Amino acid sequence: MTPNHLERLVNENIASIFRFANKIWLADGLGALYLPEIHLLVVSDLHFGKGSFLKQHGHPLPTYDTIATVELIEKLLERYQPITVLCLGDSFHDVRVGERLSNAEAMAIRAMIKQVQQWIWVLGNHDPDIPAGFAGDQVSTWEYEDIVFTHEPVTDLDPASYQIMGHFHPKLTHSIKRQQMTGKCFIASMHELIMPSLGVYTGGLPVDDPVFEEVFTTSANQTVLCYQEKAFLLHLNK
Amino acid sequence: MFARITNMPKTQLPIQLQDWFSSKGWAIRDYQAHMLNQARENRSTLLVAPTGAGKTLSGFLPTLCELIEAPMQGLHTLYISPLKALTHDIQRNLLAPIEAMGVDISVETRTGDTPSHKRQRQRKKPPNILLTTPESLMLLLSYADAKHMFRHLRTVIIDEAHSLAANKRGDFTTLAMARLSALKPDYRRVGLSATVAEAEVLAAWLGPSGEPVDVHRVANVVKPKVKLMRTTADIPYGGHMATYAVADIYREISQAKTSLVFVNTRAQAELIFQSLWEINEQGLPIAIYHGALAKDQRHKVENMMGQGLIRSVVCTSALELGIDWGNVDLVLQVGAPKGVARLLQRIGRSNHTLDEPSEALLVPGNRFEALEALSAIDAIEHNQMDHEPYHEGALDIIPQFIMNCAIAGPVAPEDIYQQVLLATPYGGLERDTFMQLWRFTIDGGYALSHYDRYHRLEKREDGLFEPASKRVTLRHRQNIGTIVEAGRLKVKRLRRAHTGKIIGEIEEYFAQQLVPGDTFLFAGECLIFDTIKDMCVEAYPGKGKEPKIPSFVGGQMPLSSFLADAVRLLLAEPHRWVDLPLQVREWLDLQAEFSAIPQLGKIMIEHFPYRQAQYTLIYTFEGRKANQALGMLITKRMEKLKLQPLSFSINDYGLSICSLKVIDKAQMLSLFHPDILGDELADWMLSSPMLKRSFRHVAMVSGLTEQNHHATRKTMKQVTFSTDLIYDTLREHDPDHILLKVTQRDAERELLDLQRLTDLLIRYVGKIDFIELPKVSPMAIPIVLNVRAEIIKGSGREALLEHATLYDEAESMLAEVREMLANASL
Repeated sequence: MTPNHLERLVNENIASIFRFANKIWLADGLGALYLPEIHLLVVSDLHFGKGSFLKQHGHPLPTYDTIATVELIEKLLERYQPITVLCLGDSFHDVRVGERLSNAEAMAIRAMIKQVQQWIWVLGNHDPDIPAGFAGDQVSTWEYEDIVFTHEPVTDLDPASYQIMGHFHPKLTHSIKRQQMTGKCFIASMHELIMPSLGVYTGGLPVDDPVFEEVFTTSANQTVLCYQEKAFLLHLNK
Repeated sequence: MFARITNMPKTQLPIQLQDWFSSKGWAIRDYQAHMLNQARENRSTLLVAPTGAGKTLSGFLPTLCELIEAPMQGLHTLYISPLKALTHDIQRNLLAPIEAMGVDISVETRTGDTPSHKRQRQRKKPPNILLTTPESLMLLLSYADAKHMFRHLRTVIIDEAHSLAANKRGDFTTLAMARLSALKPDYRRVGLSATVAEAEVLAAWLGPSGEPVDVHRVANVVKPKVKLMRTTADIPYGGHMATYAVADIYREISQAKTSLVFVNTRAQAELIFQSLWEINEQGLPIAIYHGALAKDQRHKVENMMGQGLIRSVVCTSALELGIDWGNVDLVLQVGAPKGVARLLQRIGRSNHTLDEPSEALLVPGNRFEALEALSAIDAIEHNQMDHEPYHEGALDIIPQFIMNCAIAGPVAPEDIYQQVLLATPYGGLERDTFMQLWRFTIDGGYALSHYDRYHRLEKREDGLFEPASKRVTLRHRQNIGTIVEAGRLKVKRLRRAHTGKIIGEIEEYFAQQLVPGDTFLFAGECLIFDTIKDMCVEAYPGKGKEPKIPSFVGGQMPLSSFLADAVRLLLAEPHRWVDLPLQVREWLDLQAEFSAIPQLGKIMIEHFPYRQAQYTLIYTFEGRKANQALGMLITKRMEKLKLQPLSFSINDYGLSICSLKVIDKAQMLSLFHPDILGDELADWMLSSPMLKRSFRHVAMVSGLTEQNHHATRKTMKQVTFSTDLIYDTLREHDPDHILLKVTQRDAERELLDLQRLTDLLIRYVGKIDFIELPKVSPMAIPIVLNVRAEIIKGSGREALLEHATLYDEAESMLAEVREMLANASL
């Protein structure tokens, strides 16, 4: 990641640059987070195998979602060339995904993992276990300096520290000049940052849902809207 | 119901019926006798008669005769109505003569409201006459004992056939009839229809493929008296609610004995009802009736109306079909009439007899609607009617039909294909398309499906297919039908904490924008929102300053293209404007002075700044299909020219496009250039919100996803996901999939094809009047106020967001990162 490349991403609204936890981050319009300082790429709520999970209940759904989600991550790896990739939980939709993945899907996931030096699975409520055969460290939370990366919010944290989480799939509707733009979003307060979901078969929870108030220790003050694959740092409409 | 005619024509009625007729002083009419003769020859017949002609009982007369002459056990006649309420009404009307004659004929209804023990009993021991809806019939056909239940079936009566024929629900009904034909081949089909422009099309629809039924027409003897309502109030430029006219509506109600006030949406019903009660000084009993009210509420109104306790009912289309409410002497149509046939149907609710003219008053919601109202009055005067174009059967119903057959018993694809072909809308269905739909039904039928271990239907050793699990069967039965509705929440009117009565339903998205303390109008009163609990909106009655009005997505009706043409003619013929209210004429004069009046053979385009954006109004008068296609084409070209389009909305007269950039004349003409964008445009259309909307519908009807009745558990919301996501994935990974084809065909019902679009553009060359204006024109106001805009994703929205983005610190942060990365690489 050269500074020029990074500048181009920001100027073309492919990513928004913002400050959180005294660090500078990039929020990518596809829904990923990048920390230039340590070349860390964070993705959340991939929900691999959600299509096939639903299909086994008799919905004749197309199950192209896993491959489509892998393709999104491939695009991000190409874009940011990270040293470390952190998956922030609910990477696999359920504990039996392993049995349902096709060879092609499993190979695509393995090839994706192989591309980076360090791959970390933070475990989530959907994936207390990562299916066998996939490399990468499995952790319940991951820390960098005073920042905790976790799937669901950690409650007994030092109030001075920071946490970055997934789980909630935030989405936002922003109005400008009577036009409404809706998309998934990053939303942050002073100490908490919630990531959008990346999996192609994941829906969103509007950020005005009371659930978000419970998570934030101070009120939310920054949001990045992902719209048409671009990123826009916005004031929150009140 | 029956006419008082003294010289009774000779028919062989059973003595009981003759006596009953005599006791009422009635004689049977010619066309009723005709229906009897048709039945004796076992010929299927479509009866086309004006409202109030006693159609429904004409349909039942042969059945009553046969059952009196030869009493039997089991199901003789199946009656299918588009409305649940109608089945109850018909039951009452049938039971009266049956009881009076003292004959042993059983009549029952079967709808979604029928308790399950009764439904089970009906399958084992069906009544002689069963009154039901298309959905309940399809459900009956999904049981293994269907063949047994229908083994004595003689007659199927389709009531209000005209209201079913032109839509998906009609396609669905023809499939149910085709299935019945497979179980019991020789039953007679009887269609009952209000006056339609092309009865032959309806007759073909009603019969099996290639065998149209006989048509019998009853002439409309007396023309209704229809007028614009006299008003001194200011008719507004825009809006559809017509609250301006409430004082005049009240005056008319108080002068009539009993009146019906028809409105076009449920929201409008609530608002007009509330406004009427605010000025109801005489305390007239005025009620409200619409489809979102709870059953009890509706029955209460129906009963009070039956007993003559009500002076007026504010109602939606839920009341326009055949329910007999006796002595209505005035109908008011509030808001645009939308179509001549629909208007006639509503008007027919008054003076419900054939020999006296019905009386009706039209109350336009705005000045533009006054043009529609006058055009409709002129059309009625000249016996002109609008008609719905014929269309091929919707394909998304086929998988549902396949499942329905397979659940009743093991099936082979060829047998079902042959049954489908029997339904007129599907007479031309290619085997190849059917087989693709078959494979979709089995396991999704995906080209690259590496995951088809789970099937909906499984092949048995004898080669027939059966449901893979009980769950598949159950889910299918819960989701039968073609009506896809937005999620609904029940409304509980609280007396004390959490206890109260369910008074109806509102749509989920409306409920979710309420915060405790908000007030809204529902079931004719003001409610204070408290909470959402157990899928119920809990609210107390109370007062509020500006109560919200629940809107319903399904509420808007398109204008018939016939009426749109009539309006264009009216505009082009100023000498006819004398019949318009003075205010409307003044408005047209103002339009002529400020801008221009659309002329025949010309395309008028207005362009002006409005509400922080630029608006382009294109008056085509070409109908919604053309306007929708044109909207897509022009916004695509605007996107290419970087004019930053934001949204467009279509209406019955033209389209309105909202953009960020000003458009000059040269640009405007280039937007209409008749070269084809070909694949590029096709791709643009495929990614449009309209196609996604179609897909959502197709996905639910075909069984890809189900109507999610549980989406109301808010915290789980992120687990459900929209069909848009499936659509995008499918387009990218399996572009030839059958459901995408089905979606496109579905959308074509609302969209002009490329060839005809090109023809249109060629006709427009040299005929475009481009008018730049400093602000919105009088004629444009009702159109730009339409909030139903189709969003255009692209540069316009991006520009808006880019403008709002907080760039302040970006430079310094970038510098910081640059420095950090440089240090790190040292």
